[in-house]
Amino acid sequence: MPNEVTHPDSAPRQTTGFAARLLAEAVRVHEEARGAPMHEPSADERACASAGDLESRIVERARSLSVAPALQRALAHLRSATQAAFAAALVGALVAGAGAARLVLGAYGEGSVNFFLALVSLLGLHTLMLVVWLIVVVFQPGSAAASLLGSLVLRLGRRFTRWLHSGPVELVALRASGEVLAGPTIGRWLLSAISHSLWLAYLVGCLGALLLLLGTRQYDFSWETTILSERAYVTIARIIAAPVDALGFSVPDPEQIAASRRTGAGQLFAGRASWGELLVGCLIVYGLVPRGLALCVTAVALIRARAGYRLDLTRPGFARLQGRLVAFARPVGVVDKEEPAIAEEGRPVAPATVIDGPGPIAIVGLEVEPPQEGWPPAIPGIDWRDMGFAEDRGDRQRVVERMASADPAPKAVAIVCSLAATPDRGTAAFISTVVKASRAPVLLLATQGQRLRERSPLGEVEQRIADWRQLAVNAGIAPAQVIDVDLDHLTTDSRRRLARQLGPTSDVGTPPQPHSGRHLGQAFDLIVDHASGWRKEPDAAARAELHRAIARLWDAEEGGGSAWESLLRIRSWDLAKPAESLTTAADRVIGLLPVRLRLDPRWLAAGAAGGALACVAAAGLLAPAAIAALPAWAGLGAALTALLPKRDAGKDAAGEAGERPDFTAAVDAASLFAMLLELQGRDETTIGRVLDAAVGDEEEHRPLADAAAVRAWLDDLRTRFDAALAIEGGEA
Amino acid sequence: MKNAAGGPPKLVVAVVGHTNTGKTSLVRTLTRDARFGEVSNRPATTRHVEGTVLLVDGAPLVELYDTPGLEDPMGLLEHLESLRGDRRCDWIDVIREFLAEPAGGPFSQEAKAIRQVLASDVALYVVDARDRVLGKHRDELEILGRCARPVVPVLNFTASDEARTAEWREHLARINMHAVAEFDTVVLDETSEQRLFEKMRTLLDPFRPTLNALIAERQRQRDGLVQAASEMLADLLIDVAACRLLVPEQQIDERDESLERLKRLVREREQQCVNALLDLFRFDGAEYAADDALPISGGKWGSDLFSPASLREFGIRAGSGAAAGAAAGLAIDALAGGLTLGAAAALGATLGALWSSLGSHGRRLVDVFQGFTELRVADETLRLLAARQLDLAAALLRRGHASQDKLRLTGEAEAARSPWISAPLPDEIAEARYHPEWSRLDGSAGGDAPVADRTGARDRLARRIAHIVGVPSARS
Repeated sequence: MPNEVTHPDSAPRQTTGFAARLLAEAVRVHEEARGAPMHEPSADERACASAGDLESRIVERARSLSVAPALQRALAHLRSATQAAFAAALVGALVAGAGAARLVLGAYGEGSVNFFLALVSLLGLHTLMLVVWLIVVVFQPGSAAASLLGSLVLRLGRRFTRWLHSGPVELVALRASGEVLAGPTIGRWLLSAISHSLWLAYLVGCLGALLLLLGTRQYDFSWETTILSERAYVTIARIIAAPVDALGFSVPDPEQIAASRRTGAGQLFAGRASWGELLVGCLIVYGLVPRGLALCVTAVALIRARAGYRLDLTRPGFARLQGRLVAFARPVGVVDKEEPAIAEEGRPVAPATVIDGPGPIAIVGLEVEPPQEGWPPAIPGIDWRDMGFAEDRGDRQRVVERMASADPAPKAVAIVCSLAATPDRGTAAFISTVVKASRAPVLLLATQGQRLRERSPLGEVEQRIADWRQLAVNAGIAPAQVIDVDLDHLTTDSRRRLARQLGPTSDVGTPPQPHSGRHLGQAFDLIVDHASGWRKEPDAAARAELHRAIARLWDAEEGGGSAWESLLRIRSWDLAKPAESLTTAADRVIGLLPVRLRLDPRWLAAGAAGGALACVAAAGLLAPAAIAALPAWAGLGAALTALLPKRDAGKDAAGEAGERPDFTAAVDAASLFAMLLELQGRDETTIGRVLDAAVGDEEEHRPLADAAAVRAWLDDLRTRFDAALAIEGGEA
Repeated sequence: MKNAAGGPPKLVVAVVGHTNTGKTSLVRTLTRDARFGEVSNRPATTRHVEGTVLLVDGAPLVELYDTPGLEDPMGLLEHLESLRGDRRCDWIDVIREFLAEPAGGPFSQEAKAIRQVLASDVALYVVDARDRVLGKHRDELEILGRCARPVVPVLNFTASDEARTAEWREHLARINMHAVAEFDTVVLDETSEQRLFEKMRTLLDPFRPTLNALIAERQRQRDGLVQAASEMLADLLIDVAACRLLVPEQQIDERDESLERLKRLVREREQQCVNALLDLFRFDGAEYAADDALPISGGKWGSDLFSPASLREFGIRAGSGAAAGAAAGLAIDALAGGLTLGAAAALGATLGALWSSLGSHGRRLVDVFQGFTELRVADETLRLLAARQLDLAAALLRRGHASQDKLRLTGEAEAARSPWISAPLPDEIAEARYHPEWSRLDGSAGGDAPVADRTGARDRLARRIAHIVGVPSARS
């Protein structure tokens, strides 16, 4: 970003003439050929310092680049070569004009000169070209095709340059000047001006030769005709002669005209002086004057076009410079006064108090919504005293008063805060007030962790939790009494844990079951069994059957209330709208995946499929008869396909059919499902961590094509899973 | 504050709000400067009042001041009330007394913010629309109200699923704040910035000319960006479409080498275009680590242009014309395929183009007689190229400068913006196929004379692309 440091209001220097702009264009062409703009910070700085608009800065930058002198030299070469070509062409035109005049007047002694034929020969082409030019300029301005001669000259100039100096810089200069000079604004006037100049030279040559010849030789002028009448000719001659006469030349009068008609050989012609002067006069009036006027007009237009030439700033080569040359904004810096740093007093860390004995626990919600699962949260064995929600100042005061006057006095106070909110000083102030006002230990329950995880990446989540802990500790809560529990998504496990922390003598219900991993092994065996029965890739029905079988393993144990259903949030399966239930379950499973796996398309597909099929499995366990109905199956297949990310579907459809069947997708989904069932009851961070560790980084994706490969892969998976679970300990 | 040069008056804006609501991100987006201040998810990231000036045509018109967040408005209100005591003075005087207190007190952060508000013409009160409307927000608005400055509430993160925009609008309407602006510094809607300035304009009559100038300037710049980006894309497409390599029919080794060479040229050209686009939108190397909502990462496309997976990712069907042994994306073209005058005429080519295509056909005839075939880039790769770059351009146009999230997961939804995935490629690209001299990929090609036809075709194609890219995205 450019730093605008100095004099922002100084007037821009007037150095942007046409030559400077041409250089800027050449630099642009050079940078385009190179592929990227030149990286010369000194040039950029000078450009910024020149403080004009974008165009003048671009010009200044072009001038300051290291390649500028070479480009300027090349442009100068081109200019001089073109001038040389132009001069040569002028000379050629002059000579051509003289030659034409000579030719038209004929050799000495050949007899009389046919006046009108001579006139038309000399002026005909010129007039025609002039008229064509006029028409083109008037009716199709912008077309540079108006003058062939002009473009011929320019081309000649370029050939010269290429021939004399060839090199990449030369090429760039040629292309740039070609674009500018042949472009719509300048090109048409430049080419026309060259063209008019050449014609003018030709006519001057004609005139010069004519004067010389007429002056030194004696010519007779006559005219003849086959189809036109004499009167017509006389009229024509007089019309032509009128302006010439006005200029002061002597012109033949009607008798002389009539008398000059050629009747036969050996005629005597009179009035040759008048005819001669008429010829010269016509050349001037109908040749030199119009061309001269046209030349003046185009020259003026050319000068104005050159002066008015502006860079087209929407060209990519220029537009991309805007970022470095023109600041959008100029930083002003820090404006408040320096303050003495407040020394952070070392606060004594409050010791953890054991919450013992019977008694209610006061609970207050600080700027949180009532959780979906009910308020106060249903924790086995805890007697809550609801202090309400503290949303504003009045609420806070009331809560503190209520707590002070509560009878019987609560044995502990739980403040519920949202992890999704930013911990600020106001919250800290309230927590301190509560700590000071209550004699019982204060706990902080930080909820809505799930929402936070959905919103932010993992690093930020951990930072936020740490910030809340720090805030709580600073406000006087013991570190051990800051508990991360998501009240929106309570699981049996998390309830038990919370209950234990709120009082060991509370009735905590049945002790947790040891995680033996028995079921996971059985589940994996099931998968291998099914896989050995598959000849090609299993369809939706077969996969759902596999998932149902796996689910039955756990269901039998729990005997009824399926905790995994609540883990996967499968409420009821609406037969009429399978798509929605499937989508919810699929999203849920994807949500449980750690970030790394979520980004991997293979596991993303496995998660979606696993969730959907789990939903089907749940429904199958509830109402097997309904599922057997054929229409539902058809809908299921379609719903599943619609659900899976395109990659998976694409692979299936593109069909490496005929090759070895690929069971990977089915096995992925089933094993993921089994692992989730094994992990049910734990909190979601633990689930995420275990899955992350269990699923290794498989660089090469070997398709699992038969039961043996499936067995091998599942064994690997199981080993890693067990290791990860051991790290987590019996309970997180 | 009058401008020195007598232009429109300079507007001073204070950006205030609760901590961590996106104030610094807002200033970054408005100034297109990704390095202003510091942005993080922690509380009290901004600790000082930092200012920046928006320039319009080089003239400083609007000063923006980013302030530390208000953390304890409730405490501050109590403090102000205790300061006032029983006296019957105006709140603005009480606030001035508060500001006159010695520094280092418990409300020093709030004091900085409020001091800046008093020194400004208008305050933008930034709100995280995902938060509920709480007592602390009401207290903040109460305090701001007592500062006697117009306040424009700005709802941030409105593109998120959790945003409670309607709730906030209703609540703000109840306290008589109706000119509420919506913003999302992560997913920038092109028009939301303009609407923000328009809302400010309704509240600040004396500064109408200033805000009008600013709005006009932004519009101009956006149009310029669209135009330049379209030209870049058009250049890229024409260069790649027209590019061809001649390969001797017989020698297989040389053919593979040429295949690789062509692929390399095309990849490099695409990367050039990507760099040019990033330059154009003022993204520099420092941001590559955080260029999230862009479909590229680290300033490069992740997937290879020539792999079938990339084609599938964008839903483009691979053609069946890939020759044996050649990877997808290239066409080894026997000459007969292109040599129909009828086709050239069907393009509606002008006489000149017909003439030059005759010329090029003539050259190609010669080539075939000498035993060469042409190696060109296939249609589906062109489609992929177009789709990817359009994706990138659209993302750049829409993206704010404050986002810090990571990768996007799919490209399909956005790629639907390219109408050329299944529809026939535009005429100009088809025309480019007949003009190998239009391609600048080969180092030796290009010559010295500018090719007028190419410029015309390029401009037409750029106009088409501008229509696609410049259309504001439909947002509910």
